[in-house]
Amino acid sequence: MFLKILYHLFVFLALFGSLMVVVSKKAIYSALFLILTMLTIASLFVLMNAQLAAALQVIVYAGAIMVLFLFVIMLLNLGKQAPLSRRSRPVRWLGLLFGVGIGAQIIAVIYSGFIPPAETTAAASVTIDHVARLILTDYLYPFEMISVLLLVAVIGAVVLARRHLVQGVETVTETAEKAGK
Amino acid sequence: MSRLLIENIIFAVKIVVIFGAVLTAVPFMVLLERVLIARIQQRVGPNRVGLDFIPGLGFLKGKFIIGGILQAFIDGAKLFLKEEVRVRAVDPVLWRIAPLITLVPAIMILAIVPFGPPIGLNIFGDWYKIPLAITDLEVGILFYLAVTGVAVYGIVLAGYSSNSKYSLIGGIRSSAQMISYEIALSLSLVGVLLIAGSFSLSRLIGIQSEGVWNWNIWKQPIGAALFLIAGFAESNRLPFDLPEGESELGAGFHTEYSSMKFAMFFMAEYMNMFSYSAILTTLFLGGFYGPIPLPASVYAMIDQPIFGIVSGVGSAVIGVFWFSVKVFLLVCLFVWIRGTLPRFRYDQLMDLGWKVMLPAALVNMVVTAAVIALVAKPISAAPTPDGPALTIALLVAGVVQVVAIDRILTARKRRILGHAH
Repeated sequence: MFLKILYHLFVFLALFGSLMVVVSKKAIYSALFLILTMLTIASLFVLMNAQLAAALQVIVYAGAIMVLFLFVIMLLNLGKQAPLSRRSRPVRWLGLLFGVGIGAQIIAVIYSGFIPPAETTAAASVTIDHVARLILTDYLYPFEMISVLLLVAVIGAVVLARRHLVQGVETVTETAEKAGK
Repeated sequence: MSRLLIENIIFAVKIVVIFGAVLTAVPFMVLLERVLIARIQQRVGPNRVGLDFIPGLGFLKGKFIIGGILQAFIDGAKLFLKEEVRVRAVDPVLWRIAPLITLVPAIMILAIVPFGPPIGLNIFGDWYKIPLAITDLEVGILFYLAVTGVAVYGIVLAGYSSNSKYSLIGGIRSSAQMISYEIALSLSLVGVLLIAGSFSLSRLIGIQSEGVWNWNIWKQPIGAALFLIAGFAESNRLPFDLPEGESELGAGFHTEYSSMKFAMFFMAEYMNMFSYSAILTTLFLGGFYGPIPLPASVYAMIDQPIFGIVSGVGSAVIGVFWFSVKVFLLVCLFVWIRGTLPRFRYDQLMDLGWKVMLPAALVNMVVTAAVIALVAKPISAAPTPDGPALTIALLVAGVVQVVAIDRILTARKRRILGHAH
């Protein structure tokens, strides 16, 4: 009973939060509602006995990625967005069309039976032990591939961010050489 | 009454007791800090608001410590009665919730801290085993990391919503600092987790029982040092208090706060200090176990059921005592460092976090894993201490790492200074 109340509360908060992410006019409010959504989804994981997923959800998304989001929003000092009424009329109609389309698609998928119905019995808790065993035996290859992918992304970010600096240094040395000649 | 109901009541009582005890400890921590800092700076410290108003205790007037023992309570009352000033330019919603977001995670960490060994309680003829921790999560350490990760939002939002440049700079510094040190903090714990083979705090404590030589600090000297430094950064204490930086930023992120809202930030800082010391104690310093174990016969004697109602009281008292002593000493260390070290410059802070602590943590992780694999330690089912072989191997590896880090840092310093001249 108590768990059911909690479940409905968290579901409501998750939906409310994700709606407010889109509706909020200020960028910082959007980011904060996104954090709320992440936290409520983590709570839902806890209710499903998936403590590891919940902890990782909070550490990775709420703890690391969203801090970076907020950091950027604060640095750029993003103000209010232009009100909707100032956007052009065709774009608004197009947005409505896409929104209704995606909504209809989601409802169709739910009712098509593509997603299996939720288990009614309480699932056994997924321990860290299970996850670790799966990652390091059956799924070792994809796991390592993802690590390589992340490494590539990190190096790519460094290269992109440092490109101007490297070019700048080159031009400075070039000018120095020219001056020397 | 059903067993489930009684268990839930015990759970609620535990929460109230632990929360109340730690909340009461906060004013005394403030007093401790003021007294110790005063000693370090050769001042007298608080000695005016003591117990001397009680008839017969007049001789205590102006005496060191006892003479000022109520100082923190009086300060709290003063903050409570002060007018709350709200600047018109602030973002009202965020400005209001920011102190709460700072305080709540600091309190939440207490949920996983084990304060002592379990006691038995007889309620209506049934025995209940009550662990002296609110809960023992399977993902204990991850819970700690998650909660500290969320704690930064309070400071960031306080800085942003105040709509003042000092506050904003404080908030930005705080988020940058958190991102930098969170990684070193998490990686410094991997070694301990590898040794324990679990994230659960009860198991992490179990492997440190039976004497000081089993404590994790011998197996993980580098991990403990890195966790200590990163913890200072995470709790925004000197020498990492750049988000406040009163000489350059006014008071940083809480410049625009007064009255109770300021008190909440203040309280959160001390709660953080407490819960962080508690986690460090649990992970590296043997938790609630004393340095030298008493013989089993003594435990059998002091843990006898009293009046057939409670059992295990003796070891619980000893456990809570050792836990409190360790946390007290760590809090003193916090204060000592605050009184001794100057604040980092921003580039030094980033340099230390990314170029020294992160590589050191990574190397420590790899070395620990290699040593554990070489010693071929089986993960035991019950949380018991490992043999001396692993401790000696890891201690040697740790000392080698300390020497290597020292050499590398000295060479680096020489190189940097050489460039400067």
